[in-house]
Amino acid sequence: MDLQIFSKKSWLLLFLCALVFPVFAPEYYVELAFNVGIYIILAQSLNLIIGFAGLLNLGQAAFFGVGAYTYGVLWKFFQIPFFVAFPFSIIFAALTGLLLGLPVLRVRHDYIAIVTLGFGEIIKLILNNWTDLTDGPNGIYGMAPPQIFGWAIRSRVEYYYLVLVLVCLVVFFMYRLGSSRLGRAWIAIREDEISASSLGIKTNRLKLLAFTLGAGLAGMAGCVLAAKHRFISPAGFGFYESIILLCMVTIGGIGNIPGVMLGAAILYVVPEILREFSDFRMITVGLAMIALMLFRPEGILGKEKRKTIWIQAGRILKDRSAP
Amino acid sequence: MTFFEPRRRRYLIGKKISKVFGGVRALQEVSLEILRGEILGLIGPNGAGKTTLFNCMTGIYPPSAGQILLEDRQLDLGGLKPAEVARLGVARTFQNSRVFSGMTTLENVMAGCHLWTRAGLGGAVFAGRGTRKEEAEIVDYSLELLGFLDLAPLANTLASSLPYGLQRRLEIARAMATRPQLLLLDEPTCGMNPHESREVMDAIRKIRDRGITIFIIEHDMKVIMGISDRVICLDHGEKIAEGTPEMIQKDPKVLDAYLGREEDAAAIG
Amino acid sequence: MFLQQIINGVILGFIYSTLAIGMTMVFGITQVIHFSHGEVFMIGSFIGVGVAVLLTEGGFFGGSILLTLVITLILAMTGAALLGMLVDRTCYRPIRQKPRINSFVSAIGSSIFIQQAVILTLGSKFRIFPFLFPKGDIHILGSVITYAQIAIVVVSLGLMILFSFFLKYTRMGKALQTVAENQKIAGLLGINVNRFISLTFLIVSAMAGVAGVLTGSYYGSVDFFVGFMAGLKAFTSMVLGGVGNVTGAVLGGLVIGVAEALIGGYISNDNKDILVFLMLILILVFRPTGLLGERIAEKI
Repeated sequence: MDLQIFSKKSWLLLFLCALVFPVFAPEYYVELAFNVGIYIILAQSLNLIIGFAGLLNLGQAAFFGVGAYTYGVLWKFFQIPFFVAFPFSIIFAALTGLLLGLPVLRVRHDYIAIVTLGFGEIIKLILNNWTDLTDGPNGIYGMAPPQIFGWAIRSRVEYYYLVLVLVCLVVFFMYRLGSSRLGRAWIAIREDEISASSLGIKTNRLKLLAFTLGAGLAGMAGCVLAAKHRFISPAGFGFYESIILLCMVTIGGIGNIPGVMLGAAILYVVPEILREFSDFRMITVGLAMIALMLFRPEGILGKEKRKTIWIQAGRILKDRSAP
Repeated sequence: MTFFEPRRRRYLIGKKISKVFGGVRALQEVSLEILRGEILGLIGPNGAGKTTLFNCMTGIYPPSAGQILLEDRQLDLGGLKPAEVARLGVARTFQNSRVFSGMTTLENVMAGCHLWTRAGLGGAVFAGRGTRKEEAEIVDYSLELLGFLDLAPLANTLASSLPYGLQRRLEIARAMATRPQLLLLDEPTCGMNPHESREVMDAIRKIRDRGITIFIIEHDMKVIMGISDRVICLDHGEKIAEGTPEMIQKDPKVLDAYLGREEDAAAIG
Repeated sequence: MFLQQIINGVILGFIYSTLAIGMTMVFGITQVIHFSHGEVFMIGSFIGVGVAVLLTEGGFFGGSILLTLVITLILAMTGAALLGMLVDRTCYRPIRQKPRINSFVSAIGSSIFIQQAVILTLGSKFRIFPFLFPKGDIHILGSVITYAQIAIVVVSLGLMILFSFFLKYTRMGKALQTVAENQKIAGLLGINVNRFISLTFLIVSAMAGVAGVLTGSYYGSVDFFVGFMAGLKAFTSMVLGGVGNVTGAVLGGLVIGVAEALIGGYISNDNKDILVFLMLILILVFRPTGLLGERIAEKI
């Protein structure tokens, strides 16, 4: 059973619901929605790397951490406000992605998972041990809330809208990427790298680009999280976080943009609801990953109905089918 | 080639190409010439080194010795990476079906248009007029290629749902999308019935008529003898014969090589 | 001191070699990185600790250490072998024909699942493993080699020699090599590929189980996390030696063991794991085919 529920109309409906949601919902749910938004961005960032370029990255949480710590460190030493630190977080996380991507691409395809895992752990270790910079396991705290023109974002609702804007941008970004010449090249690389390069596609360059972009997006989420919680420590950016992100992408279907949104929502909300069973969280994640691969590898929404979705292309095909 | 045919220019020269894997000598000093606009056939029993030759020519791995020269550019293809080779105008298909199964037929061919188009990250995100124009061009060109190979009605079908024979044809369309000057086809009629094979033969002739040089590996002797201008025969990594189809069919060394492998004996026409 | 570190490293290395052989065999035959091999090792340790504690505290076998060790090994081997085959049967076999990334995700999932299952059922605290080796040592060149260490070397070496013998001289072993080299041809020759893959898992998991008991007893404790690290080191050893290459796995394991001991002794004991990891990344970047070269054919 394939569920193709995201037509243009349903996206609009979803957006409108998201827009008015905080007006009716109690604080707790707005907070929940904020976190779901952060995870949607994170999951999409991993979706870009795995779904578009086929690179199994087990260290995505590290880029999340780099973005968060960029803001944290800039605040700690220079009191740099959020909106100034925001682009730096993205850029620095992206640069980290670029630097790590270079050696990652040199290794055999099958090893990428373990190498990225290693890099993730190494980054976490650096964050833990470079205490002069990061205060180590104590973390950094006290970042001021984001301010524009003197108006500070303080309430949960305001943070929610910030994240909503970013989620919309990210989803738009992903869709545009997916339906472009770049997207075709990436999917070609993911499906069959040798064929792709035999068609003249510069596989290494494009894989590196995906890695960099994915890292940048994760960094962006990190910066926002740091601002909201006003406290960060290396603990939240380790292996288990990366695995959870992987599971979100798996639930949604690798490369499936709406699916991954749903996957992020499910994998965040369900454990929240079943708080008493938090001990069972990780084992369920493991089980889910196995089960999905065995029974529903396309993800929870089933096979994406690929209509040829390019704007121009759609018009041409329609013209041709007219007698 | 008769006396009256205009002398074809050389497109590619292979000089003493050798390839060694561990202890196995897959290719031993194979020299060849590919002339512009011709259809050159490559035959030989299983394991003769045919696909190895293709792989050396297209950068899958470098030759252990020898040169593969593109006349025009005085460039050695040996040692280049596959993407670089493709960008120099040499495209290929593979022995197994390697279509992009997650994409539609049209998208597969559009992917082949990558190397002569430019839209990048900016184009993807902002989709400005230039990008949209380029996308339209890509769609048009791809549809044209699909029509050329009689795949147009299947444009929006997922490539994995295509029957095997059509998948192989799709691969040819996709390789053509790169606007190559030389097209290497690795057993394009593998697994096809005689009717399908004939369709592929017609398509190959049409491709040649468009000005593309073709180098084709085949086991089906009817196909090779039917469309090739010249044929090269390999055995155990060495070139053992070269000439027109008529000459090759009578060449004792060729018959020897094939009769030595029982399963191919019946294939000789 | 230096020699002592080398000796310690070699012992560690034999353990890693045993595990690396397993990983390399599985990868050679299925092209999937067996993420849960470390967990199988860990389960071997846990079975071992349970059995050993039971036997020693119950005073069975008149307190004969050797008998206790042997029984523990046998039970751990069996349990580990069964687990390994189960993982293959449930997480790998059904999706062997699908894209490889699916197998990777499933493998990761199985690793997490086993780890978490242990935490939930047996708790996350470490357990004390009784010392099952003869006490005593010998002194050579100013360094000490304990009988325990000799025992580990003897058992590991014995396993490796047996395995090598199996591969080279038995009909099943030779068939296994054929399957590893080319599954399609093996299939055409009428060999039941899946059965041989199960056989591989049985053998390597049993070996991992043995390694688990030896390690647990030698260091005196087991906890749920040993599998993760052991798996990573096994992977490093496998890659160092050249994937698919059994001799390489042995060599790689020894090198990694010695490197870890030296790094731990001279540079930093807290960060030695990460530094070994860094070694892995350097190897992969500068010599991806490993020391002895790979043994996997990818036909194009």
